[in-house]
Amino acid sequence: MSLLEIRSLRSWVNTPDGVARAVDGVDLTVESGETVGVVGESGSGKTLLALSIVGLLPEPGGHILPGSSLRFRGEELLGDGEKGMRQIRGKGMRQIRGKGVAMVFQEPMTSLNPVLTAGAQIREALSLHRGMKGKVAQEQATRLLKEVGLPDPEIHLEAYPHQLSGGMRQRVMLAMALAGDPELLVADEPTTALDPTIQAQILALLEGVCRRRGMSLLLISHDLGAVAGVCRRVVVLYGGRVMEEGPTREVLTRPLHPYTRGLLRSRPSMESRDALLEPIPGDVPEATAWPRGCRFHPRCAHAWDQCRKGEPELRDVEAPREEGPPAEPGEGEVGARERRARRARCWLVAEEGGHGRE
Amino acid sequence: MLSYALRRILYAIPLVLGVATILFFVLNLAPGDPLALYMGPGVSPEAMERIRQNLGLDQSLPVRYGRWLLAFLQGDFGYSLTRNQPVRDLILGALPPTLLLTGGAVALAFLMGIALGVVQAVRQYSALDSLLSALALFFYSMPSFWLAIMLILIFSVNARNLWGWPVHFPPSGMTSAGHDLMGFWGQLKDRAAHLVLPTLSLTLVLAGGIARYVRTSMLEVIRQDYVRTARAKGLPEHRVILTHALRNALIPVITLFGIYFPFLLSGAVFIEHVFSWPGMGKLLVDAILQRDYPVVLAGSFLFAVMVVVGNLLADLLYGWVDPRIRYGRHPGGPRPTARSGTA
Amino acid sequence: MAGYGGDGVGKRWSPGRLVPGLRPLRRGRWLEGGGGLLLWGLLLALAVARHDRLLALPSRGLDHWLAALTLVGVLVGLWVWSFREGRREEGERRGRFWRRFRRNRLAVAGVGLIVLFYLAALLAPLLTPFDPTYQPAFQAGEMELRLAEPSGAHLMGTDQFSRDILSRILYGARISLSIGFLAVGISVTLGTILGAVAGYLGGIVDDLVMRLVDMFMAFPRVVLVIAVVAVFQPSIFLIIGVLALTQWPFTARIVRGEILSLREREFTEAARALGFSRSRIIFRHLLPNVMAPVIVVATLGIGHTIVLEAGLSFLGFGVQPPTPSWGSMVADGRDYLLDAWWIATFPGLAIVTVVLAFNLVGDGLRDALDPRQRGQGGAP
Repeated sequence: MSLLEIRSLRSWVNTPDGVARAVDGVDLTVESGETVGVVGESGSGKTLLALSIVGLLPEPGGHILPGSSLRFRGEELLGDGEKGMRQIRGKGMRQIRGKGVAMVFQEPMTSLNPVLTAGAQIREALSLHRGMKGKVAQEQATRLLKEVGLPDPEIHLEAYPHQLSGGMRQRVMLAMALAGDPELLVADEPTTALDPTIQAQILALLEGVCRRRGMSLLLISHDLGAVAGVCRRVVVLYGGRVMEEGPTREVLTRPLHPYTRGLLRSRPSMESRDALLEPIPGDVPEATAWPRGCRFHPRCAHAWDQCRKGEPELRDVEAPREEGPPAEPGEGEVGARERRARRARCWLVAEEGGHGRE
Repeated sequence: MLSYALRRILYAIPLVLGVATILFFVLNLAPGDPLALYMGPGVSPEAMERIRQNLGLDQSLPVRYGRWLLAFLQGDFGYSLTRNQPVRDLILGALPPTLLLTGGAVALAFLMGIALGVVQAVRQYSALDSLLSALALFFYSMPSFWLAIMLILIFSVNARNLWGWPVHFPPSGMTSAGHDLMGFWGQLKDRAAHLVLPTLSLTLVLAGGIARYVRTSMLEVIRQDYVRTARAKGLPEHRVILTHALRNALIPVITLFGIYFPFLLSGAVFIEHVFSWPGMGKLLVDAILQRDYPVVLAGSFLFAVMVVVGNLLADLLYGWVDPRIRYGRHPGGPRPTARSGTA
Repeated sequence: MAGYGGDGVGKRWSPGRLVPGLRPLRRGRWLEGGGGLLLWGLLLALAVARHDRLLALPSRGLDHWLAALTLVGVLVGLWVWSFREGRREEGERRGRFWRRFRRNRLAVAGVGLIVLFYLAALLAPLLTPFDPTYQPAFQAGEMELRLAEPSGAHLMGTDQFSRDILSRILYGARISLSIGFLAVGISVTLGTILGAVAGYLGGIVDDLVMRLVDMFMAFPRVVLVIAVVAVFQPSIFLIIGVLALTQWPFTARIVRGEILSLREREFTEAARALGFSRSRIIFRHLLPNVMAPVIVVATLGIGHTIVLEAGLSFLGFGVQPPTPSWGSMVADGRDYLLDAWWIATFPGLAIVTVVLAFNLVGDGLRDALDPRQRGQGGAP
């Protein structure tokens, strides 16, 4: 049984300019103990995806459409809400937030309550999810801060957020998230607002913590590099839908989807120091008006008639290779196959039966 | 934090002195001879001259100012021209009723205003929000003295017509005739009944303004990232609103207290007049009408002092409640050290 | 009222400018255009029908004439202002701003209310046959009219001197509105200049001005106003003056704050580099950007001022009888609460309505300027 199973998730937001179909049919699976990365530019819907998992859609205007499914540990979280829309039901909510699924947000500057000390906020989570109070909570909070790599935890517990640097605040956020002993950690651009040197530290921290605790990680980022270093599997998001997914190493070395290739090409790397950066032409379209047919086709160098006419399905590209990464302990057949699955949503790939046109 | 407080206090002192000086000069530059109003036509010019000398009114303005300032600073406010009492006694007697009235009104107004503002923010766009907004605006746009009169109309004059309920509140004074004859509880009830209408007149207008401000502040705070974090942590909604959102939203409301304080005192002037409430406002207005300058001077000065103190309290409270000011940038907090290597 | 000008495009003296309603009509905005035209037509009809009253205006004292002139002045001022040519980018920004404002229906309703009151005040003699000033009840045949209940002849009843309440309210609107406009106008001008100078020059000037501001703000406004007005004889000039003098600090503070933040921006440096004189920088470049929050505060301030003026009149320190003022009407009514509740009630309702309208407009302006800005709180 997969830890988190998202099927046909559609989260739309009503805006003055129309309905933003930010998440428009996403399938995603996270196994126990797995690290999955979600990559996309701003506007691809990745943040809304994260928010949908914990039921924090923007109000008013955010809603999940019927037909969406969100299963955590096998149990369906979405129930029928008002106007036929789906929403996470009360019991599901309590199971999820902070306890089963914890979130770490992008802006450590503003994501911590400025009038409460770091310790108070961590202890709050401890009290809520583990029933710890007083001295027990204090000790546990100290231990958590040590785990996230903050020296002198006793001092830092009594600090207010504005007295801490960005990296420290992010560590506090992480400690707060870990307080409930979650099984899945969703990190939405956790390092984007930090200095590059600190970014590496925090990513390493995330990877280490998840490995030690056997916790799953859903890392959302626009930075392929960040995802590459931490995640076993990567999912590429564009236009509110999954465009490609597979084991990280394979997707990065053998990208199938033109968008993925574009992303890879547009990153500066050590080898290409003299070459010009090749950004993907065009802009991300508005979520209120996705292009017809394949959503990437207006910016795709390889687009042809079929791309304009209809949207391709997300297809398994090839049989999961037998010599992929070894099976994780406790993983079943399905889980193992899922882990090695390789999929792409592109007419090119489908047509050629697995080998993209060059 | 201490330096912040000290600075504010030190700044307030010359402010108060400046206010007193302005008042002195305004009143003493008034046309007409104040004494002439009190002495009947039968008083001889020589007698008037002697009285004038006694009161020191024959000296030049700067000298008078100096002498007055000295006495003032020592707490000697002079003698009332109309009532034969030291001004100080008059003021000390009038202060408690005013404090009772305004204190109660402020407390009640903040309670009401905050509660309403929070409800409005949490239920934004609902019918309740619109209704409360309309009510808040309606009361905020009202002159308090008119509200007072309308309340008197409804609850005193026509009380018996109110849906068959004999709801009657006394329209004037602090106590009824025969108050001394009532038992303890009777006296308490009597005082409370007399407090209702005046306090309500002040409270409703003030609460309207506070509710609007709190609503705006809450709406802004609710959109903040840290509220989202609190929800993501799994906290029950009421805790999110009360502990996380409200605590932040109330910080600017404290400054509102400082801004509104002068208005509160002004309102008290009208309300005391309407209800014949024996407080500072009535004292002041009567004194102005009777040209009793020492009382006017001392009374206005005291009002100004109350305003300055109110502002000061608000500033200090603000500094205490907001940890960003309390602890500043660096003092007291941990700094990243070189050896730890983390930041 | 005047033409919807400001864009500098089109002929200056076209009919579109002179007749309100024509231009929006041409642009397809039927409601606005129709309403404007209708209003214009009604006014013309009214003036023609009651021309006799228009020509036979009796002298009613200085207060009255000052009030009436002020209202006319506002009209003229608006019309002159509509000829201002705005720069291109400002025009675009302004267009967006007006559109956002128009979407706020409450604010638009507020504007409508204000216009209504304004017109009622301006055209008072045309709207009512009754003389609002003192009329002794012991003239033959008029005894019965004392304290008459609201009826068909007197829509809001009469007071203890047989004066028609509604008429007094209409004429009282002149006093309230004109005092409001004038006092706030003066205080805003004063406050803006002082605040801008303080903010821009800084140093000693800044300190001095801010000390003054603090001192003035330390006073409970009412106390100072009452004291001054009572000590020196109450006259409409004095009232306006004192109200203005106690209001300017609020504006000055805001302006100073805005100037301080604008001072460090690039276009100020550019202007300085080009050698513009300091005053030119302040007035032509910085101030236009500052006006936005000032207008909001000014609008809300008019409401406060009207309430304050009513309070003054209530205590007897305002405009003196027989000039009608809403505040003194409420005071009069206080003695007759049991017998004639209408004397105190209707003037108060008028105050509430007008102040409400100004508050709605002020809120609307604030929201339209920056929907995310918290605004200026409750300061007048």
